[in-house]
Amino acid sequence: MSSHSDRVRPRFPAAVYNQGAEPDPRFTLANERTFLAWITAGLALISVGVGLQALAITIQPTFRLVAAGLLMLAGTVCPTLAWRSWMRVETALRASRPLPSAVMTPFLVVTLTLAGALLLVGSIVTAGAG
Amino acid sequence: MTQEPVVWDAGLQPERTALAWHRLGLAIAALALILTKVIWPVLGAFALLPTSTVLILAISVAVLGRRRYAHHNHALRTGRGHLPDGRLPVLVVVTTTLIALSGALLTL
Repeated sequence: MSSHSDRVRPRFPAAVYNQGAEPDPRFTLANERTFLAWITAGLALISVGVGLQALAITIQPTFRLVAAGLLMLAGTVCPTLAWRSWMRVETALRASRPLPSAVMTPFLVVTLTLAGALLLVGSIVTAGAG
Repeated sequence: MTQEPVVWDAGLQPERTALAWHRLGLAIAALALILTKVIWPVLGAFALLPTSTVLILAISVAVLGRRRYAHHNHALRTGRGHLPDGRLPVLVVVTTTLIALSGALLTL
């Protein structure tokens, strides 16, 4: 039992690895890529938010500020949501249960729609004033 | 006759995962450069300190992703040991959240 003790290190997080059986490694790898894609998406949201403010794009300042704030808020919570999602998927894979419903996708849809609408209205207001 | 390279999976899953880690490193590096543009007018040359820190983080992510790939490959080919666990991912979550927060605080 302890003959392989040099290789046996409890895997983190225990909440995921304490249950179920080893899934097909390809599914685990796909789950990891999805997680990384969401992290990258979060960084992109931050980049756009920072860029909007830093480059002083000519959009009505209040609309621009709210849109940038929304994007940066979304980008900040994105990694935590991605981690939660990774844990839930990995747990479902180990238990051979159906995958949980997508939470991240509606989150991104709402954020981008709101930010896009704000920037569109802000651009129209600026164009009208100019 | 050339020898066929042996891959564990015809769908190249480990390789695609390694590329995803590299992409994340690139995204962090890109954000580091954008943040530099924001803090340079305020901090001047001192801006190089946070910039180089984040750039080092970006390189670390790519390198650690590479090592994770080696680990994946070893575990999959030998059938011994497990795939890497959630330690590096959770470290990435903490790091990117901190970078995101500082970006938001510097800008707003």
